[in-house]
Amino acid sequence: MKKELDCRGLACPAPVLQTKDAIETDHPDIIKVTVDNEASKQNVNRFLESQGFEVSVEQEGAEFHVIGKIEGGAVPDEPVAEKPETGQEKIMVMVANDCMGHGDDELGSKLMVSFLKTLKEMGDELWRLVFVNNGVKLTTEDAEVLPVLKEYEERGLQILVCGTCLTHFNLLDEKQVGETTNMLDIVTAIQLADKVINI
Amino acid sequence: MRMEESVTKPLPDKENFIHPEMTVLDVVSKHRETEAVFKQYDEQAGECICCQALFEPLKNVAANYDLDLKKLITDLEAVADL
Repeated sequence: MKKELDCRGLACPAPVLQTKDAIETDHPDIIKVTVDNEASKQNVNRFLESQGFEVSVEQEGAEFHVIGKIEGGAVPDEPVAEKPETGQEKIMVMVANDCMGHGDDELGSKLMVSFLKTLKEMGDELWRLVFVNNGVKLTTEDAEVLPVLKEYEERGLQILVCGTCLTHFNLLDEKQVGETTNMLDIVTAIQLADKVINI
Repeated sequence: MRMEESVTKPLPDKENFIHPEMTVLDVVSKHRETEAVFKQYDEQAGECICCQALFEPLKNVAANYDLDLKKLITDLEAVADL
């Protein structure tokens, strides 16, 4: 499918947003975006490349035709979409504290370490591990459980760490494992999961 | 160890706040009304942010243009009604 967009007279970000919408809606094999300013040309070009298109630009007077081609059509933009093996549940574990339960934090810390180590017993059904609020402290260098989390990540488990929480605790540069993420990704993960376990 | 399970319903859109690692494109594509806020910062930045920094995370935008990151995010969230 070929898609053509006339973005003449539009300044950024409009041409890129229109291009993004067209790709997500129509998944074209070929998309031609006509713009009339340098910034739009460069940004549409860069956006198409980021989506896997091979991009070429043709100039016609003051206009630029940014042409993107991709085999099989563009892939819809789903940040954390991933299907599990048939018959398996997708279990997401959301950790919102650095210790488990209330009453004694020292005991709670030990329990949390034990819990995270034991999670591997879920096998392939363990689909996402998400750290929010005080839980993000478990992803930093001083955390006892860090080697366990790194091992999970190396095995392919996706670990999401709330960026706003890291910023709040001034730990953005201290995170040692996982992907810094935002609430949209977390909400999307909740929607995609078969089961969400809150700790 | 047997854990208590709870199935969580999707959080409301209100929780979909703006984050320092979101790019300008992430922000304007999810909250189209925020484009006006970036335009307001163009003068302080000295150039069109949406033209020159569309793929930059907000934290880089703030650092590169010497903007107050917290205020920028607050302003963006205000128009995005978050």
